Amino acid sequence: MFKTEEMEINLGPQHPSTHGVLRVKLHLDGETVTRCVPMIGYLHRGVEKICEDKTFFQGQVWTDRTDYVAAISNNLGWVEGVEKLFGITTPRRAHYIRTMLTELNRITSHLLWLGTHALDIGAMTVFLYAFREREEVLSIFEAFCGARLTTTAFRIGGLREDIPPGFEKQVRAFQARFLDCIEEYETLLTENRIWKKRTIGVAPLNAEDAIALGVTGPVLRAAGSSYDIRKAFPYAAYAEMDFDVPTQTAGDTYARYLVRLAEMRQSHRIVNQCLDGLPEGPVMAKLPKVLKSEVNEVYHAIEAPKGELGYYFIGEKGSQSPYRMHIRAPSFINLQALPKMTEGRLLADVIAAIGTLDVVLGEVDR
Amino acid sequence: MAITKVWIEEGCIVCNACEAECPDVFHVTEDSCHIKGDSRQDGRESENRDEKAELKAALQASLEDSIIAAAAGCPVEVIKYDQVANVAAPAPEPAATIAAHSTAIAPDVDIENAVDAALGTSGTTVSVSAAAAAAVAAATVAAEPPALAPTVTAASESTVSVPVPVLVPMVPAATTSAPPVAAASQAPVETVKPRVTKVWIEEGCIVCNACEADSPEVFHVTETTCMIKPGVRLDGQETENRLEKNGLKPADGERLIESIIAAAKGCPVDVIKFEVLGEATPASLPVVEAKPHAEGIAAGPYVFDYKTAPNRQVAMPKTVPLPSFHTYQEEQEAAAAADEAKWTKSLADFETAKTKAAAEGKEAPKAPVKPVPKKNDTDMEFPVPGEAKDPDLLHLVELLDGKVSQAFEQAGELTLQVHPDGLQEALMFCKGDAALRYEMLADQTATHFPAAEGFAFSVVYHLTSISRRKRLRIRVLVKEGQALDSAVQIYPSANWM
Amino acid sequence: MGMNGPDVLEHILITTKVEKVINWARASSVWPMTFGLACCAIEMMAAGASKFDFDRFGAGIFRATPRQSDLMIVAGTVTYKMAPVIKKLYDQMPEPKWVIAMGSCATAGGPFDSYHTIQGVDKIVPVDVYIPGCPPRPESLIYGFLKLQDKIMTSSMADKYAEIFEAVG
Repeated sequence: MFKTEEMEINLGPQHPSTHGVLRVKLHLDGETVTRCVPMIGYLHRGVEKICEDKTFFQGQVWTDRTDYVAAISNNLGWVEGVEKLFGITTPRRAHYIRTMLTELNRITSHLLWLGTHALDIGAMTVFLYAFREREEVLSIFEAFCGARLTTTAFRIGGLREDIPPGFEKQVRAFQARFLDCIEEYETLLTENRIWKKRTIGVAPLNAEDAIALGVTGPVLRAAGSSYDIRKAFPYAAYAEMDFDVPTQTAGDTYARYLVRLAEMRQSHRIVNQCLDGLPEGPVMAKLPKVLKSEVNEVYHAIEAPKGELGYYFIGEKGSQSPYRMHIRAPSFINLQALPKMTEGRLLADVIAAIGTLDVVLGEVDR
Repeated sequence: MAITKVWIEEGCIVCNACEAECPDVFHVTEDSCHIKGDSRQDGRESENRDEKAELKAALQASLEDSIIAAAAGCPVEVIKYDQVANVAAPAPEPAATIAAHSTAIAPDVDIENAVDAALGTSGTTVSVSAAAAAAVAAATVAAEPPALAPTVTAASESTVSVPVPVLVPMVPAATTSAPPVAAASQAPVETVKPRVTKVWIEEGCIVCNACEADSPEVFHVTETTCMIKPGVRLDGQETENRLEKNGLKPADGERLIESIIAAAKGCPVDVIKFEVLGEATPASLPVVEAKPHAEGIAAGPYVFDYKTAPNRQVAMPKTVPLPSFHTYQEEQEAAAAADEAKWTKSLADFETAKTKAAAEGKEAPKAPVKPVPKKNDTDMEFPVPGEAKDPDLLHLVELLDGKVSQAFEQAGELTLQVHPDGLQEALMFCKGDAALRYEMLADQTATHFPAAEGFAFSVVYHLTSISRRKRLRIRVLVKEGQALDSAVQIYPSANWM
Repeated sequence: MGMNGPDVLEHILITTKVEKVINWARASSVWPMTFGLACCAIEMMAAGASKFDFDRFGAGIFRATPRQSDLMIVAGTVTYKMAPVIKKLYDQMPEPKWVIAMGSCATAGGPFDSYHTIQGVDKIVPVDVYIPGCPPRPESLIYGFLKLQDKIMTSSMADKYAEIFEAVG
């Protein structure tokens, strides 16, 4: 009497919950997902190839536009990668300022994730609250480098300029009220019954699978691993910072939410330490005006808000631009786990899974 | 040489630059710029755009330089002028005085070289200026016939007899009787060594010192600008040489050609320009000999027709920047040997010079000083590859027994290069061995080396040991068309990478 | 009779006023489509959020489907792979519809002059307002939107019909 057949639907590339231009092909048996195939490439912009034609100084501009939600983290990966390639020693003060800005950037990235993820699941209010604080941090970036989003904040060897007058006051004003703001989000979500119903046990991923699939960042830490590059392979000024790596063991959407909120608190802690312990001194290393590379090959990874962000460079003798540049994009590799997280589960959970992975399509496609 | 007409086209931005250069002709007002009535034959004061009235005859020659300077300095390039080779009135500078002048400056130019140089100069520069002169002649319909001037033959005779490197060619160019190129080719042409005839610096120098590092004999970088040194210039002045483009001394032009090309190539803002006589050698291009790194791999059949993509200019890489301890060691040894040979030669030269001086009863020349390596006063020290000392690398070399091509450390990173058939085994050991425990494949990517012989791609695997906080790079060299065994069975994350 | 005088006609024929009313209604409730492509989409979201509040201009209701929206804000780089999708979305929108090209990528390809990027979305859909910037600030987007409102207010039905007739031939 009834005829059942598997149905194939496309989610995206234009869909309000795919965070850009992700397309997911889903095979459905009723409401259950039997097969999930993420299809990418709708925002492929050839950043890696473009950077081969640009000098080391120019290439940073394109890194802004890979993960545009966390441009400063990308800038940091780029400049530190180049510094490693050339063997440049950066002044300590520059390291502190870089660390501070990167942590503030982590806060903006997590706030954007929080707002949009809650919006996807159905809580509109958090979006407005999260963006309120986000604007405040963006004005801090603007005071530092003149741009809100695509910052190109750092220079190879340090910083273009020291922090402007009044900057510390601005950051401290934000720091003073931010912890209360996190409390505010928590009152809206953490004990919210609808939120818990939509996230607990949804899109789970255990630590073993996560490591096997190369998943890093908050998604991995919510599954129980404490792998954080800031602790494992310290870079910038993280070796001198006192902070914890928040972990959860459940490995579901709710655990990732808790991890990211706790990470914002840790970022808040690190920013305070950077402000308090900001050393005196220059912010720029002494460099030749033209950087000419020798033959070398480096892979430098940092802990971006989304996970391990690696820059791979090959230097060519006498050249001012990289022979090969490759970005190990955390969003791209984390997205690989989407079928694992959604197959055999409900269609509505796919939206939660995409949101909780925190993918940025500019970084996925590069 | 003189300027008969000068006019201003549309687009003046009232910047006052022309009035600063040539106040006798240009006058800049609030909203426009015009040619002064005093300097014009019809005495009117206007931009002179359409009528292009003549300049006063008395001023035509005397204001020439300043008008040219004003036109060149105009940021929007709207100042135009008609230049004719000569007018009847002012006598041209006699060739003999020029010759005397240049010989006075460069007395030690040996005659053969100078003849070469002179011929060469007339050979190249004339071919350019002849066209320009023809155009001018056509435009002005030869109102004043060139009544003067050494003829072509005279010019080439004079070049043969006296070394006149630069200024001569403009004179024969004015005579429309015979193409001067042909005249030059009639003279006994010897094989011309390539040399730089002129070098100048355009607007936009960022004072980066790169040129002085490449070619310290030609360029001098000050706090605010960059100059061509007087020692190498024909006129002996020290300026940026922007407008006048004065020539280089022939001997220096030939000797320094490589360093000048290197400086021009290395200029980050590309403002160093030069004119070359003869074929420029690409000696300054860094050409590293491609060495077959992977033993036992035959040259791959790498053919790609880049002409099929005409829209994109593809600059193929010429070097194989594959970091390698072996290559580095060989390069270092070769560089040390070259330094040693140079030092031995300079010692020998000194000895001969000393005996010669002793024989002639002169003072002995200074003894050569062994060059010390330049002190690095920057915060940059390029990491060089070093021997493998890390226990992980040594352990893997032992385990893989013969399948490892090389293992080295550079910039604190461990690199293990294995044979393609040993890759699976290497990855398996990395993941499974109790002493290694590389749990995660963090990244995998490949690089194309079109200039390499014996392989076309390098494939790298970046492994991370979360428990031991270590990273390792495994590298495989692959030929064109060769497929590697998949790593997905061992590291599932390789699926998307 | 008085009916023939032009002053009377003016009172009877109120087409212009209807047009004005319609334009006013349209300009005051332009519903954009939720359609972010790249970096500019983040600034578009910021424009819609608490600080800049796009809703003040009647454009705060981002619709998830093209069939309910009047305005397509092309916010980001348009690649060759995405272009057919954008064209299809545009075709699905009901008339009257408008397009804002936000940012230099949508305007002219931006910094990505390469094998994958369309050098401006105007190659595939007609654009009403271009907003420069990489990415434009939310204020720029608001200014661009106000310009679009001006355009809507000055548009006339006759123009629209002329356009349609021209297209039909």
